[in-house]
Amino acid sequence: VSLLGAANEQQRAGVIAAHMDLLLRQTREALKRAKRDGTKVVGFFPGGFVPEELIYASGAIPLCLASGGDARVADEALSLVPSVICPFARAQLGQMMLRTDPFYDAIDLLVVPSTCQHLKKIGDVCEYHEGPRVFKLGVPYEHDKDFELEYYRDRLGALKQRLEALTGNDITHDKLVEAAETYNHVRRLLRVLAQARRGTHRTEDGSERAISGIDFARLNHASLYADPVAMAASLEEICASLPSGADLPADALGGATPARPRLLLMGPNLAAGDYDLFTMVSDAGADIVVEDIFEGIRDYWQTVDLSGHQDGIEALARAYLIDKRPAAFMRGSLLPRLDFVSGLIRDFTVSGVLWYQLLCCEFFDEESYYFETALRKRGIPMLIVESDYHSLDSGQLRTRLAAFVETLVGGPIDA
Amino acid sequence: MREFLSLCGFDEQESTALLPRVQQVFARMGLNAADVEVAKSRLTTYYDMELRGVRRLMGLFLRDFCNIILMRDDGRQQIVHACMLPGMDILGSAIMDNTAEVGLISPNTTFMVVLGCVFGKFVPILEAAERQWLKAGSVAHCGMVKSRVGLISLGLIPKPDMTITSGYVCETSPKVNEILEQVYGIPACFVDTVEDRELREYPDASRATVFAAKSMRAACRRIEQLTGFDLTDDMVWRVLNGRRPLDDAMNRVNELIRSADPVPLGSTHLNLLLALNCISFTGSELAEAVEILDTLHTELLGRSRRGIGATPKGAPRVLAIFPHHHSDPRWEYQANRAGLAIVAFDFQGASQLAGSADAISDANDPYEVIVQHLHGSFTQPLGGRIAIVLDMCRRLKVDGVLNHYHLGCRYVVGDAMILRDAILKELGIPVLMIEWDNFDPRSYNQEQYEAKLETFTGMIETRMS
Repeated sequence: VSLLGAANEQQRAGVIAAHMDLLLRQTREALKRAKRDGTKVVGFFPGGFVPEELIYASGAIPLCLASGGDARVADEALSLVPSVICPFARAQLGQMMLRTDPFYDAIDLLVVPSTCQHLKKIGDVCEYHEGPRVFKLGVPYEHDKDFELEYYRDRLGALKQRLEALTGNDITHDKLVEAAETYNHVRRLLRVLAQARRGTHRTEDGSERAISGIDFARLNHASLYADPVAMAASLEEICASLPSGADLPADALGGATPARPRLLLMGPNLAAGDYDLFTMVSDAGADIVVEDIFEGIRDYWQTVDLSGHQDGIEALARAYLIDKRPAAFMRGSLLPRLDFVSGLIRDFTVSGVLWYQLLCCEFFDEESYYFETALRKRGIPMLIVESDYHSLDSGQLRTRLAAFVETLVGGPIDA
Repeated sequence: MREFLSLCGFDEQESTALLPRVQQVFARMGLNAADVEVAKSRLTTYYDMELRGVRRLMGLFLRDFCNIILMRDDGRQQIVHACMLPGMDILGSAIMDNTAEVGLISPNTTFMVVLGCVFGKFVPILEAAERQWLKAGSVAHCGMVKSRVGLISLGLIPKPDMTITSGYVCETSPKVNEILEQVYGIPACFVDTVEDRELREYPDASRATVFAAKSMRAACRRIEQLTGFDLTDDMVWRVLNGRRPLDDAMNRVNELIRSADPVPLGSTHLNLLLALNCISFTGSELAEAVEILDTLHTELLGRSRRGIGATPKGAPRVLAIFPHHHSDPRWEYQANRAGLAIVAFDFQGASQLAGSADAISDANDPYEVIVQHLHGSFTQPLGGRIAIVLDMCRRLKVDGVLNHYHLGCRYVVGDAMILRDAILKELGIPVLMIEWDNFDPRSYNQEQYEAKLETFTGMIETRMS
């Protein structure tokens, strides 16, 4: 059964699950082979500032570490860091301590970008405890001055050297360009898949989307671990079975009011495994149709163009630091990000924003005030949901979600 | 009021001159006669007001408090608000020494001393911020950033024309200023460094210092664009050189506190010494601050010779992790009453490279000199911070460590447990862990602290015996 031919949610989930199983099985097998043949595995924390092209070009296996959603794993780290370190960051440490996840156990080098206070601290703890060898990749908070780009370029150069020393392979310009294209292909396919969600596709169960939010998140998460070539093959197959979102007109719904409210999911992170919210939103009568997430979701809106550049590292630095929309931790990022999500709200016919933040993420907690106020002025209501991975699926939250959905469809059902 | 001014070290003539200004400020702040009575009582309870050095130190803060509030009335038409940015005290002096039009204020610490420690009225400022976007509760947000939002939203300080802060280790502070820019229309400017130091590189911090120096210089260019005032390197050098006597005087006082037995000054005063470093002194104020510290040093030396101390001779000596409470003296007071002498805090420590010529890549760049504080304990990666803390414990021969960690700061909180484990493993001395907010008096819990201090003191005494 193809995704398009799937008659209901269960069948669609089955198709995605089959792809996921295959991709992750292949990755696990690749890691086993790597241990045998000496291929190096390089883990890195998410956020979009560690160029995996560089790792891939070195011949190492890149793994973006984004597992989460399980409170027991996050709590495992409480013997080393206090509970005010966010559960997502603690989950990364918990996985390394438990050593039950083959992805985390396979790492020869851990690249820690200086993008999030919580993950930085986990990097510090890993370094102190002589866990995987750590490379700290500083990321400037601004990029409008020459010295900031120079610094980031130099650090990428240092990372390149470290990878070459680790793998024994030279990262040539050609290899880098080829690796960038490999990942660009994955990004483009994810974008096609994402844009397909702008339109509607009515299935037998009455839902109105080409691919559900949870399925898209799962596939996106798979792309953080899977070999990019295999990932692209899977995505090509899935995309071929869907109407092309890229061909949809600006008003993809043709002015029609969707039967169920369409939501934008925003927040600091969405871990691989942290999917309860999708189900709860669906149960409440709405659909998550697009997302703007800092950590845990691969950025598919921007590609990395290295062709025509003499200095691949310089081009990589520009692409990652300057060319893409600024991340939340960067100075002056509020307005550009508000513009970006306003575009998503328009293009994906979104009627409400679900702000999903993890407990103790003080940074996004501050931002929630700004976005809630700014979006309200644009007529878009926002609901803030906080999770510590322990008690998300609670009656209280279900009630809040139901009330939010009622608001979006025009007031309480029984009013 | 005159009695209060006398308590703050002003003589009759000085009081007469200062009184109208203080009255004007107190009226704006809503401080009345009853508040002044409370302040007098708190001063005599928590501070060694019999020491002239302490009285004059309080006077210095009171005057800075007035200067901040009346800065625009005094003719400075463009005001830059600095917070959580070490080194801005120097740039502030360099600016204000050379123009009467532009002011640079770092109000938070002075307000915490005067409104918090002295008047016990700091909570309304934090509550004002909590009515905006910074949630209540010490776990949610740091009291230092709340105080910034509170002071501005309540209009207790002149509305600045620009804010400037650093993101050396803090994500919250720059984000607060960014939101202030959107909400109040105050342009925000940032000084940053890079956080990529690896333990194997310790104590080298050159990437961080070189980057921070460039960033600080770029921020000064933005201040110049805003104000039209050119800040030259010579101006900055003059302040850097001019402040050396202050640093020396401060070191003499701190060294005496660390070395004397009994410790001659109550631990509540350590916060005053820390806050003094945040003031941008202008004109003759710098010489006066040096004189005050020298007076204090002489008095403490006298106490020491006579065997007078804030705690008994032989009292357990402890190192504090994270600085002393900024807006509430009750914890340090209680620690002294429990028989503990706090002799230093870890942010005063630095790697062996700090202050050496090897640490500076361009000796002609005054901004590189300013950012040398990045060698300090605070901005080190975990392993570096542990090395510095262990070294301090050994050098100061402390009997225990008070690890009161500031929940609002994920950077320091993240270190707390591993730091404790390292101290226990390497030195075997007791470590007391206390969660609190360093700037919020509401985190004070007498019963809890009493019980913890009793246990901690007992552990130390058992070990000492």
